[in-house]
Amino acid sequence: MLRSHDLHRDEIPPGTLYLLILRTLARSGEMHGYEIANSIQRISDDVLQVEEGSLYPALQRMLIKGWVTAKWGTTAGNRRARYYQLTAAGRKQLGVEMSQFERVIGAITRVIEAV
Amino acid sequence: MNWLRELSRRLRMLVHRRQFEVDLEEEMRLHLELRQQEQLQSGMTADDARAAARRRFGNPTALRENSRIAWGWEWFEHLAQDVRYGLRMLRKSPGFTAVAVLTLALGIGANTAIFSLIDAILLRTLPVASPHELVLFSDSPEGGTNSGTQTGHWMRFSSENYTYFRDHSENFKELCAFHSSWNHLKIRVAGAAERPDLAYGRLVSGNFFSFLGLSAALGRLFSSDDDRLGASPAVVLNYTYWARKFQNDVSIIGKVVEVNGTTFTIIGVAPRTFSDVKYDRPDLWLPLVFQPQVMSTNSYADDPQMYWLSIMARLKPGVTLRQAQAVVSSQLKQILATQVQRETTQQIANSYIQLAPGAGGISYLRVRYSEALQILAGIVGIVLLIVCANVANLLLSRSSAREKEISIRLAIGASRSRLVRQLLTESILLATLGGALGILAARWGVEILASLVTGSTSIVKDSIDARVLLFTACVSILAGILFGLVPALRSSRIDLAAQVNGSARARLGFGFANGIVACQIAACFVLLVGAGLFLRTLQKLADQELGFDEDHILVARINAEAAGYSPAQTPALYQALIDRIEAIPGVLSATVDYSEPFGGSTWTSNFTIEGLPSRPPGQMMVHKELIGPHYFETEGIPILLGRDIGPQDRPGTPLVTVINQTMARKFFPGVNPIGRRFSLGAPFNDSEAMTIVGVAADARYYSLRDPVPAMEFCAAFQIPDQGSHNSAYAEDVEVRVSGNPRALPTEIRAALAQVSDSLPVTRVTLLKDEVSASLRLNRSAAEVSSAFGGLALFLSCIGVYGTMAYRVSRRTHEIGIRLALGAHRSDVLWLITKECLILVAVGLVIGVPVALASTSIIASQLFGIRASDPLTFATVAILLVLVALAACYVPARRAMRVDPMVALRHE
Repeated sequence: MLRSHDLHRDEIPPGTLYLLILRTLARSGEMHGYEIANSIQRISDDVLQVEEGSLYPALQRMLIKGWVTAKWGTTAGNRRARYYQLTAAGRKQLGVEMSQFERVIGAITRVIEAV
Repeated sequence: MNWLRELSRRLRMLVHRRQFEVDLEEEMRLHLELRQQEQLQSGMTADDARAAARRRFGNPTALRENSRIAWGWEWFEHLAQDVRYGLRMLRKSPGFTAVAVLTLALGIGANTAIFSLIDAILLRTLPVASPHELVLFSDSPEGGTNSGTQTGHWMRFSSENYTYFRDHSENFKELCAFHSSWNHLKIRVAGAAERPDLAYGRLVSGNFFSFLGLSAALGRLFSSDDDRLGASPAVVLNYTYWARKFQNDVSIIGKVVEVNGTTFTIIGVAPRTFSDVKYDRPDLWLPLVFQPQVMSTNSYADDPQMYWLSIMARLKPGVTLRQAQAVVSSQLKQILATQVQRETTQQIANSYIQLAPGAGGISYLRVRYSEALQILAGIVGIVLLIVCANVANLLLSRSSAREKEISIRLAIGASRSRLVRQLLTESILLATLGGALGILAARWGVEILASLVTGSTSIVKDSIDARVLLFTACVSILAGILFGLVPALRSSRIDLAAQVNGSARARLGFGFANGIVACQIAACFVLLVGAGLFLRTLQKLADQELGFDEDHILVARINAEAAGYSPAQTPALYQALIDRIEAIPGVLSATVDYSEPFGGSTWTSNFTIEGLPSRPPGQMMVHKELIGPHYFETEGIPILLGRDIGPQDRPGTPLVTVINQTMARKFFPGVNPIGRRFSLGAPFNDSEAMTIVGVAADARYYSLRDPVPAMEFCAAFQIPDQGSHNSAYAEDVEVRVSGNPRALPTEIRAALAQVSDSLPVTRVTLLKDEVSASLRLNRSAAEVSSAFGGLALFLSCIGVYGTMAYRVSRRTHEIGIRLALGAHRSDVLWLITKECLILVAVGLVIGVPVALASTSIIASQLFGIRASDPLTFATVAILLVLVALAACYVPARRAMRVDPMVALRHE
């Protein structure tokens, strides 16, 4: 049952992983990796499922770019976890990614709807 | 700035990379555990939950690797791995490592040493503001007061010229001027009782220091006000002079010193790094306006014919050297056109100024040694190539020993590029070790080279600086790639199957190894031919007839000026010295000379013969020498016609001169020159005209290489205070002796001291030794090229030996079969020797044309021998064949002694 659901999940469009992470962090403030993965999945009504592990290399790249910062904290279950938070540069980047995404989506929509 | 912050984050990561890995690990583990827990809660078994969590997560190892790559340091980690591994491999074969590192140290060290000389002499820039804006009206290092009228190429200028250029300088931001020579100064701190000190000074325009953008180390430097008529006399001290003479006394500013009889105020000390535009380290600088006081002559500024200034300018942005040059040349013609009585139309049309980049200042060393240094750079470059070839050969023979290791690495999946990188890291490591050792060698070698090339170590910098280190690092890395690349590529291309099942009889890198040795022999040939040509040049120059009795002439350097004698007092002093010395038993004759033969200075002038029209510029040139009585008798130069200069030629008598045979032949063909008169300059000037009283045989005064020029020898005693202050004093007393000259110096010193105990006598030497010192550059060219040629020969010898030994060991089996089938041992000897001879022949076929092409570059440094001298070429070729045969003797003997049974059983 679960297995078949997994097989039919929708892959996220390439290049949008940063956008999703940035948007999620912008909405919720501090989060650790597992929360980010869950949040993306839940808000998209389980349609979007990232390969969860791929969040981590992406987060490393975003750390280098200075879009997010990380610090260690404790979870509700009293476990040590690394919490990520958006920086000013990250917020700016979110704007960039958003407008780029909208441009692409808008263009695709126009192509599809053209009579 | 963003990338900078990003870089700093990356660097932080590099430093804390252990922590980073631990953090990432923990983060991923947490994720997996939380997911697993969630699945458990939804009712799965523990195993299914773990599997599901892993499935959703992806491959943790790949993701970790991916994260690491995100930080961009994986290349660094690989490099660190390679270096660690490389060091371990090098430690495992200490013999190979030692030979490679030592030869590389020699090669890289020699290049570093030469580069630091080139850096110090050819590439240095003045320690001034924006040196690249500077242009020189001439970069000729010669000082003096002549103009360009003879050749049309103007190098020095009158005060009037300078003012004109300064006031019409549309292309220049600013101009400054300085005296092209320096002046002897007698300095006494005012009020002090001691005898004046001798120092060197340079006259400079008031804006000299501000033009260069220098600020004082102490006090202040000149301003234009210090260089006005009526300004109060001021001097600026050189930093090193201040340190030496005044022990860095800061209270010196404002003190008064007496300079050549005029009192000057010390206003400041120049920056420590500044040793003048001409690098000749004058002890102090004085404003141009005090030239009459400093030189005790008329004002040069008022004499439009006195061309005594060098001019430097700063180009305006956007103006090219060429544009500015065209403008100043046409300005020069305009200036000359207003002086029709002095210059003919033809002369004006021929006149030009050649602007030169001024960033490097005016350097005598640069002009004198740039060619020698370039040749040296070529020599050490070839040596380094030979060294690289040698190490490449070592690497190749080692790679056959490492075939097993490499095939295993390939077999378990190492990529070829990763392997090549590993092997290259090893060679660059070798080169770096060699380079590090080479820097040590260079620190010591550069002094030897500097004294060989320039005769002093003073230009050698205190330490190897960043530029030299950078050069060495680049050379090391390039060398590492050069000798490592091909062996690395070859050893990574292995027939795996053949290796693993042990049947490999691969002739790995075989043709390549031969090629390397042949090239080595070729390079060696080029070096040895060069060395041979330099040696024969040296020999030919040393065999030159000088024309005087240099074996029996002692030269004692004296300085009557330092002792306080005025020019007018000198004839009496010198005559007394001569008389006293001639009284020493064993002395045949003595005289004084105002510039010693082969001393390096010349005084050239055009001249006009009485009753003849002046001839076009450049056609009537004579070298002038000032001499004392009995000069030709003392030097052992035969008088062919007329008489020697004698004691009767005193002040007040009509001016006389002796000319040499070349001058007589060139300018008085077919007539008796005795009694004829001529004057220096043009037109004929009766009041300064000299009568020819004798013709002397030609003697070499200036150079062993160039033909003897036309010369005239004036009786100096007749004109003790004429001409420039610098030439009023004799440089030395010259003494001709009958017996062994080396026995007499102490007696000569004693005799000189008897006449004047205050007269400094700096050294007494044999004229022969002075002449031989003039051959220093030729000798060092011969020595350096022979030394490096020898080194190259030795390395090539190793190369031939190594290759032949390798071939023999690879062919033991084959040789065994040949012997078993009845081949004679001499056949085996011939088999090996033939290969060796082919190697040398190929080397020579490459080497001869390369040598022909490259020796033509050194042709100007040769004398009496052609750059393609067949004898030298043949000698070197025979030498190489013999050495190669010697090198292959041991392997060939080993081949002859192969026991067929042992060789056959071996397989």
